[in-house]
Amino acid sequence: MTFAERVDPRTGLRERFEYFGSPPDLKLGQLLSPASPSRGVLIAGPIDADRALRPQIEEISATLGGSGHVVARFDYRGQGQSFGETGDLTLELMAEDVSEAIGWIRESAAVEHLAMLGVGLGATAAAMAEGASQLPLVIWDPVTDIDLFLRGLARSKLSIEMGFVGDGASYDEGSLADVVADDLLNEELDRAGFFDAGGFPVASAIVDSARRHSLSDVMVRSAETMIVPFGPGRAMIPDTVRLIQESFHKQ
Amino acid sequence: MTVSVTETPVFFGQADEFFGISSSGPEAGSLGAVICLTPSMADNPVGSRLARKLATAGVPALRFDLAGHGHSHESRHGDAWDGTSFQAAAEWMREMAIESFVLIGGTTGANACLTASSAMTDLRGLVFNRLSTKRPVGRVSRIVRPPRGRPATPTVISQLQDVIERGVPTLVVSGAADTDQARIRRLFGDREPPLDRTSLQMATVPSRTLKGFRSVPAQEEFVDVVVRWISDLAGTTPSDLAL
Repeated sequence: MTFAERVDPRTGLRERFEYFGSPPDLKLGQLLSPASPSRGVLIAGPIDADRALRPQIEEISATLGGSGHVVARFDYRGQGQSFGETGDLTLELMAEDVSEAIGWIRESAAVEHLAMLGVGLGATAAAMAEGASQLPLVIWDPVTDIDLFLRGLARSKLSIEMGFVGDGASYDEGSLADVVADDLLNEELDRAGFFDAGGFPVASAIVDSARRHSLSDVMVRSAETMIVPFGPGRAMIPDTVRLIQESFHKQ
Repeated sequence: MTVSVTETPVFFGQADEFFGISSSGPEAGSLGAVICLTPSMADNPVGSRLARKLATAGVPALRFDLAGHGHSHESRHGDAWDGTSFQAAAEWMREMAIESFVLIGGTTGANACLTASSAMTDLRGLVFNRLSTKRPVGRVSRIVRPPRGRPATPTVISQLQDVIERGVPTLVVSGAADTDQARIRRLFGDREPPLDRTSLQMATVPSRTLKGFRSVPAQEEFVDVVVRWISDLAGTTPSDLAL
């Protein structure tokens, strides 16, 4: 596969982009590598529609890269710059992509020790992935209930469309906003087959698969799992990095 | 999308400061497309869809992140509407033996695209999505203000007028609720004597809301309009596309 590579003058990290996997569902991956990496971290990120933690994930990647870790990120099939149809994506396919990404980072970065960070629905996919069962997993902001997760997206969308200030993140269960959000969600899913979250579709296929696989059901892993305690996004970055670094000592 | 399209990630620019992805199909022609839809490739799902449909239609495409956006580094020029990003992307296309190209810009990318076009003689066309006719105000205006000693930046309307007078085929696509579209139409449609508008086409597609902007053109319609227009320019037909 052809790849693009450069050294970021600001961080000194080598940055590499390449497609991996088998056609037709090639995935775009990004590797951040320090000069002498000793360990690797694969980030199984959230789906495109769940974008709130993207800046923090960037920051975690840079912090881990700066402390000697190769960091790999990738777009699931049908997401970001990867090939594939968004509407076909399911949690099972996300888990397959995680396993493929593990093979890719092992081959491209040649690191012996590997840990995983799962964020959003990526946490569930990482817990389900066969190739990841022996790897330590740190979970951050997981989706524990797909319907609550979707309702949050719907509330954000309503807030924006109605010109409210804020992102709709404040939560008051059972409120009128919830009722309206659920109506919006179900109407869009029924009519279009997907919910449009700010330009990023969440299709019925992934919703149905997430209803079948809750995080608690799939947490039957043999390796260590750690969960980042809840807190405001940016404040979680040091805890997340620390837990990932500690996970290597538990292998 | 069946993968008859080959994609390659690339870094380009003098210091590899820009990140992009090139797309090409099995029957690549000599006309290429350079695409920059802000805020970034990762934040705008339309770019990959557009690039792959163009590549399938025989128009190789390079989509990329504008300076300071996505995976491209900050621009040394400090002007959000500076044309440097597009010029670097066009240079990369020339190195790939693409003889002529269409520039496609969205939002800030549209204005950067317009700025870049003034220095290019090998342009076959321009596509603007949500071209702004007024520079941003407030914090952003301090960023875009030219340094002392540099000539004042031409207005968007005078830049557009220059493009039209050069006869560069230009397509302005906007959502139905976009007020800038109405302003462009008024300025170029009502002028006496009327400008030769044969090279300027307006396309209005349904609006949708994206991150609070109600005038964003609906994705599918935007891609369809642009692919058809560029296919016409290239002399290919999009009839074999799953539009």
